[in-house]
Amino acid sequence: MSVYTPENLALIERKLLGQLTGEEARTFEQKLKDSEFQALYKAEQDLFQAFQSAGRAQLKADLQALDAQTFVSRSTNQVPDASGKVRPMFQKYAAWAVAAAVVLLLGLVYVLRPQSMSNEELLAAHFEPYPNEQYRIQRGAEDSTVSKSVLEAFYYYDSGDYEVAAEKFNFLNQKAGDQEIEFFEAISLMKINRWQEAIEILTSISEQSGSKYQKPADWYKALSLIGLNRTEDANTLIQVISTDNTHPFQQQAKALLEARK
Amino acid sequence: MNVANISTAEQQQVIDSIRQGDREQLNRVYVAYREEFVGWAVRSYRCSEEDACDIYQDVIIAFYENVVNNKVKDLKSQLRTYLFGIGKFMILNRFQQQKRQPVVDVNAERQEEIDPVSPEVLWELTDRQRVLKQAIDGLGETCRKLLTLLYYHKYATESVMATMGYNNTNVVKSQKNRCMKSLRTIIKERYQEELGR
Repeated sequence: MSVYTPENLALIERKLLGQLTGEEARTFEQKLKDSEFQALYKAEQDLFQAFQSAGRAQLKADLQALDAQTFVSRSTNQVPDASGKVRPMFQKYAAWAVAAAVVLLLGLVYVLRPQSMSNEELLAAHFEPYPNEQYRIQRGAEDSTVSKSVLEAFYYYDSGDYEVAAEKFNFLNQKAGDQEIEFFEAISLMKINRWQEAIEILTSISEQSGSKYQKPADWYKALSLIGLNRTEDANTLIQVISTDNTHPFQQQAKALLEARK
Repeated sequence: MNVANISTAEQQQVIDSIRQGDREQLNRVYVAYREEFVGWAVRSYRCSEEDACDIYQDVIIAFYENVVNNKVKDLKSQLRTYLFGIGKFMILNRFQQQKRQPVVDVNAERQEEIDPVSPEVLWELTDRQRVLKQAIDGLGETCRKLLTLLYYHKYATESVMATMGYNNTNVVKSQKNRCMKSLRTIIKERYQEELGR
């Protein structure tokens, strides 16, 4: 039997984080006598060390930024430019400050411009839940390869009971973490206005190149951004989708941009 | 930010706050001793200011890791002495790595009477760990942040929830599973060959 199980991974994680209880520590020591478990532990230890290095690199970058911000400006108020000459900080950054002010002003004008449709209206008109084509409960034809709980979650999804569907999908994801289930969990969350959680899931899916749901995830993420009133972020993404001829939601993106005018 | 040195009475509270994820307090420690440390390292060991600053950042990282890993529960010495002790260890170590004899200004050094303190931090990565680090760098921003909070900063699920702006701890758990799954996929698809060697 394989030792690569969620239970063993959770036990090793607790060991690496120094969180084992006395009972768990005994179980761990017992399991460590098995060479396959030992190999799994070693692999997870390596990954854990890699996380230490990644975290350390980020912390170092943060400290460097703090240092530059606190000590350069405090001691001399001067920094060398690319040619090595020292110019007062204000002079060096004045052009950037002016540029930033212009961008801010333009942004403000854009945000405050009269809008033809509110975000709620846009969502009502353009947000269609992704169709479930695969998992249908068919009378008299039991599919033994699909678990009952998956079919049940999709049953609630198809019935429009997104609250229950989201809960069921979430439960399934905690056990297995299947991308398709995650995608439909995100759509269910969108239907009950839990936009931020939906965005987290959709972002992680859209970062997986080659995934069947990668491009649909972009579209639904854009809609979720509208749901959060992050209009500019949504617009940027919708623009990208509308110019991608291979995107399955290109037409929808174009229609939404048209409605925004 | 209060840049004054941290009193002995106050230091335990500062350490506890850092352990609970208060980054402002870590920044406060950094700022409080930075100039004194750099001046001391330059004066005592003829380090360049840039090297001294780089070492000081490593000192603060080692201090932080020891705090979150509960290795600095009850600091016997003053925080300043502890930090300078780690710093001295690192400076001497750097000389050794560069196969150089340390240039010590005996007078400046004697005044300080600092004992070197091992940072107890494993800095070097094996080849395999280096490849895994590349895989972590290949994750999306959200996943990288969430997993680093859990595994490097050792945040409790509730603290991750608050930092990431999630509504409940179940979201943290499911998002963590998703991110780990993505990471394992990246490792399998992009790095399996390198790891198999």
